[in-house]
Amino acid sequence: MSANGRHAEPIDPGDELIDQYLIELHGAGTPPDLTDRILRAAAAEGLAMSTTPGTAPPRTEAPGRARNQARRAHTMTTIPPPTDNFARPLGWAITATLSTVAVMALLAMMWLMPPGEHGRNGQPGQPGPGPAPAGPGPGDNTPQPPAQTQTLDPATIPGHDHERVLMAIPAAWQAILASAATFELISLDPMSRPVNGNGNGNGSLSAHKEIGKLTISDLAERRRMLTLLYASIIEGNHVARSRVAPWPIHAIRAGSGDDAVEMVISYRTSMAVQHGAAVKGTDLSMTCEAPFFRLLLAANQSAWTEQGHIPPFDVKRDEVASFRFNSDHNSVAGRLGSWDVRSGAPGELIIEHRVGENVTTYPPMKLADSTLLWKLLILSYHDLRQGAEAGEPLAGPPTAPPAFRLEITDEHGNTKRYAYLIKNAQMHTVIRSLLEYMVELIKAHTGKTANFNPTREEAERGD
Amino acid sequence: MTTTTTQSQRDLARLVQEHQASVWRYLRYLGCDPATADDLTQETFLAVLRSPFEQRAPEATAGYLRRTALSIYCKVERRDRKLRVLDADTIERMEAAWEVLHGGSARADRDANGDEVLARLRECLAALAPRARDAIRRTYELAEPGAAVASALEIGAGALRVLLHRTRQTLRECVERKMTKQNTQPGAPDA
Repeated sequence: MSANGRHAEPIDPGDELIDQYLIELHGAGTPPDLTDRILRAAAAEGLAMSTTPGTAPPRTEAPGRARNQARRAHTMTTIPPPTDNFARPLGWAITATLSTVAVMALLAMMWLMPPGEHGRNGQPGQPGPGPAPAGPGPGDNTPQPPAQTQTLDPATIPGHDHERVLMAIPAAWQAILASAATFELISLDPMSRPVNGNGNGNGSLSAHKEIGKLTISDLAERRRMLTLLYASIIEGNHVARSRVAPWPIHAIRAGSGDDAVEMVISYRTSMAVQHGAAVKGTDLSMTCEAPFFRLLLAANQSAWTEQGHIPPFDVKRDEVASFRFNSDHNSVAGRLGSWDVRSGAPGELIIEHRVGENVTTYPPMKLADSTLLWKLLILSYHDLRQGAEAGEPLAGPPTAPPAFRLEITDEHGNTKRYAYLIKNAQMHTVIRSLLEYMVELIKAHTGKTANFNPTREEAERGD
Repeated sequence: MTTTTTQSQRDLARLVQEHQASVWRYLRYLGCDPATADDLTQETFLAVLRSPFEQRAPEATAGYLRRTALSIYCKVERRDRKLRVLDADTIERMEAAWEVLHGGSARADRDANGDEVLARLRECLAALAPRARDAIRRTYELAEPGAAVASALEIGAGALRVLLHRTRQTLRECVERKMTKQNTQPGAPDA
């Protein structure tokens, strides 16, 4: 809510609190109902209420009112902190855990490396990996022992024997995932994939460009990751089938050499699992809260950015350029109109529509609300990056033929037409999908009727 | 066993339903955006469940959850550049403001989920002077840019900031007064 200058300048806490309630009172910022989400997360961790209210003396340690709650909260000595487990659908906890894992792994590597090899991983001159960004307690910075040598029992991972999971990942492969000596989470450049005629990748991890990876050395974390993965497969909309992941942005590799099991994971929807020459495809959960996907995303955004690496798909950060789609001279009444789609707060997408001096700002959308938008952002960012490197403007010249158009009809029957310039076929497809989404959004928020119906002939003709 | 589990799930669901709004609002107040507030609200409940936890009076539970949320926020703020860093003094002042607005330190968590504050705020808004009410309406309800609000009210941008600040102050005092009065009325629950 920038309109009230909430973060533009410091205001006193009481003022800020009233500000928040005013925002809520006027229809924004209402607390969501997180009951189901929290219950699912608790169930995934096996957490439950342990006592019946009133049957035991109250716990006095943490809830007790100290005079200086604030300082106590900072020291966090009496408040039970979250454990270093992953919270199932929870981005921040995953971030914290994987960050800790990354630092621990780095510490372990440096511990084992000869001194002369320190800094080989792109951080020369640093005496150490620095303080852990988050952790369960004050002992976080203590070097940890090397990775454990125990293995997981694959039969103890929830969902392992589900039909869909077995179709996607046979039992023998599951055993490798559970017991392999190494378990790596890998970030892929989504634009590096080789494509077949359908625009899909070939599913082979080796075919993609790796831009970073985390070694998951803690068995509990590996278990949690596999648990979430299996759950995501089970909750997927479709049964496993022979398809591979287009636009992969993540991968998991367990083991090495011929015995490795590799999983290439698309932006949300699908995954290819490979063992030797055999490849199996499967769909993952498409829900907004798909915890497995969030886990992967959080891993990217924490550890790798802390290492100074910004994956190209990391579109939630400020560093990523905003982008804009300009309508051309065919705009209604000859005025230049534009959609301005840019990244907002973390996880939010801001969309503005401009015609002349008139600007319509739509309520921020959660990035995770739409696979479509996620895909768009991946492609748009890549497009921007390449265009910028080549010295190109994002939009083509105003005299170029429009690729397709958007029509919006308001309640009075007035139709506005906007024509868009698309640089390539991929963007065409994606932006068309985006506009369809926008039309839905407009209808949902304004009640206005929207019509988006360009034909290929119209698009090519430039009508 | 099943009965116990079911009862436990019901207890947990009730705990979440009763207190999630308060925790979420508190996290927003600390500086979380909505999505982060969602995440940290969830983690607050999970963190509480991971520890030995016994429910007691609702206000004590609310306070406990709030402090757990604060603890989690303080951890996350170190890494998340979007979150503002709160020093101890700021937290203390924020905590005090929260307590006062929600009914005074003695009954700080009585309004466990903030709904009473919203109701009182609605009453106080209705009692505002027309000009102040118009400024609030344009700013919050219509989400007009500051320049547009200032123009409509025929004042400068600086004067608008002052007007909004004073109006929020007035509203806060009004809500605090109403909350305190309500809490000290004979027969008030748990009085």
